[in-house]
Amino acid sequence: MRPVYLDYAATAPLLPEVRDWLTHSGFHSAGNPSSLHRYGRQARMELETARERCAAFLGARVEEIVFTSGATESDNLALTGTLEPGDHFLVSAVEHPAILERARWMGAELLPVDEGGVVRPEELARRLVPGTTKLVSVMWVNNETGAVQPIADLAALCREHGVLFHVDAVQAAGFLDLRPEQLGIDLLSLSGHKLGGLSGAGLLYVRRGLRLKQALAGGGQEDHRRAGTPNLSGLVSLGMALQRTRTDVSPLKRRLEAGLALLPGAVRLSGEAPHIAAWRFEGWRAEPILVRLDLEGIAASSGSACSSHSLEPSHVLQAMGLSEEESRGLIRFSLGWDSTEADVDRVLEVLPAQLKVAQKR
Amino acid sequence: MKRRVLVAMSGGVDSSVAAALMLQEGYDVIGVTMTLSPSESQGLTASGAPAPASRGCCSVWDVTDAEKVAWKLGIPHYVFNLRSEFEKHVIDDFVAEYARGRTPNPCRRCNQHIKFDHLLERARDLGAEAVVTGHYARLRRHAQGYVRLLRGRDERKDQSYVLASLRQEQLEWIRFPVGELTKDEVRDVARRLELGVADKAESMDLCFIPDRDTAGFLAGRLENVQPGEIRDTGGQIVGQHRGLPFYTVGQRKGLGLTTTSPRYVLELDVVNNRMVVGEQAELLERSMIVDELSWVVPTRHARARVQFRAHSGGAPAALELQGPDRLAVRFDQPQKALTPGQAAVFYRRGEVLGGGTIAETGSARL
Repeated sequence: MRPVYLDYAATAPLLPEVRDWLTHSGFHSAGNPSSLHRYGRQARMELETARERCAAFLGARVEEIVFTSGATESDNLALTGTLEPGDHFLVSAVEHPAILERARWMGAELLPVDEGGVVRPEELARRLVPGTTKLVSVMWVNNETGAVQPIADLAALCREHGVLFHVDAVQAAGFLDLRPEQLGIDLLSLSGHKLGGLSGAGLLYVRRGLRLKQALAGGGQEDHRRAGTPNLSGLVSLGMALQRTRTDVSPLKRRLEAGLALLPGAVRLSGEAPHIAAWRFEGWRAEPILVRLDLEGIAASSGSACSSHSLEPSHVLQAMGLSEEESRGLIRFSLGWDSTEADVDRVLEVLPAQLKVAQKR
Repeated sequence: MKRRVLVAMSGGVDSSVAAALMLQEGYDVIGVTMTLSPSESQGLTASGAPAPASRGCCSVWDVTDAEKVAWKLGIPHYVFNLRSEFEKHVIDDFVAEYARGRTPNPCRRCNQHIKFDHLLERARDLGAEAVVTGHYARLRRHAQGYVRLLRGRDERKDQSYVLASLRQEQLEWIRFPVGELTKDEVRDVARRLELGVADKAESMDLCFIPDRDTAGFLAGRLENVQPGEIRDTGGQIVGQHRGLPFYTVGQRKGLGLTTTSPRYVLELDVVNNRMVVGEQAELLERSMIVDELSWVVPTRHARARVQFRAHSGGAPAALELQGPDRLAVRFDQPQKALTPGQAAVFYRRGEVLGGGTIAETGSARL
């Protein structure tokens, strides 16, 4: 039986065009984009083509793209590259740890969310201190629930008060239109591996004219904003992943959720993102369900995992007002470029039996 | 269908070999590792300083070792997070016991309240017929049907002392394959199978205090610890203690006394916040009261060998039940440093009859 992979929000299977490029085409590992010789030139062209693709994807200019080692670095850089010690800034309570942990350390104020996990613009308006607040960071699509934030409204508010606005768009890329300049977004983080690129490559969009403090000192790469020899193969794959035509997985999500809704104790937690179905089952923690699914060959996930991939209660669900126990129950199925109806049907075939067996004892 | 078992894998050599042995016996083996210790998840402390490196029994590196072994054996492996349960049932109790002037045994409490209950639930949940651990103890079925708990074949490594509170309905579901082997044999198996953990050092410390600073750990969690008097058995004040939780009965070092002959902690009197010290001979006591009783074997003997600390053989004694949960133990010979809070386990010819917790010691009240 074909294994079922429904954990794209964690990482996606490698795209065939990336695999082909790595194995067959002109990728030459000897080339450092900073080198003078022909190999350097070739590498430089590969890198700059990738940058053009990323810029095109965002409707941005190439000089607005800072390549990084991934979204965690981009998120960190968005804060450390713009803020001074003691600056007042706001981050939503449902951010990815890449923002949350850094922000906590730097003394951020947390923006609460409503029961749907969404930051209400009026809440932001209440907490913004005009003339004092320096930056606001809100993720576009929540990685645990798929909640979509009202980014346009939040961006407009920030713009109105001259506050920098950063968006972690990792889970939005490939599923929603990302046009930072149109919306008035100043900083935006992306990563490649959630879309089928190699891991270890990402970018930070930095609006033209915004000065970013140097993140890493060294050879002056990335226009002196982020030193270090770039991860060429990773960044090329990022460009390829962003260039790819978007797959509409929303019919698959609807099919999956229609089935899940019929299961005993099923509670829907999903947001509006087309690729993330987030549910819990009354009386169940996530772990036993995920283990059973894995033993049946189905890869799904819970919201957050610590370094030893044992599950912690989800901070996102807790911020939405769920109890600690309820917050241990999040089951996340996330879809992507290679997902099929058969994958979804397999879940709906296996899961009811697994829930029932355990209830009988 | 192959019969399925759940193996609790700590990343150490004993449980790794336990998993390998079950696999050799033809079982469908699932490996699990429980994360218990709370120190690991924080990369940074509140002050922004790096958290102290933890290499306790469930540090991330031990989890990784367990995963490597499972991968090598070709079995699925999962990590279960029991940190909040551990905090509630083991650490809180650990701190509360010290606050009462007792010296708890957290490993026993973890076995009693967390490890096995949780694993058994998971095992049933996943259609497994048994939970397997790497403990050095042996199980045998008695002709009358119940399960007997025996010391491990390697007497120096025997761990039956921390398992004595397991109940029949739990023992029915448990296997201890390495209890049939010596430690050297276990290491040999690991080496032969190239499990990569054959020469790993034993974990002797408390998993939640990897830096061994128990006093520091307690100081951070106890309120109202007051210094107080140290008296000798004649009632004479001989010094000052820093707070009773930082001491244990039988302790000699670190008392800060300037007496001519060595003094030992005899008693931690929490009511009067007073420590009583005396000569080594005064540490010797003949009797104690044990409560929180549990019995592995339905028959109750009037005499047994009673072990009252880990890694000691115990001593012969007479048992007298004084109430539903109160048992008096009278040793044939006086014993050194009977310590309230520690487990007392009753053996007969290497077989665990039952056990409990030392509640009081001394001759006067018994």
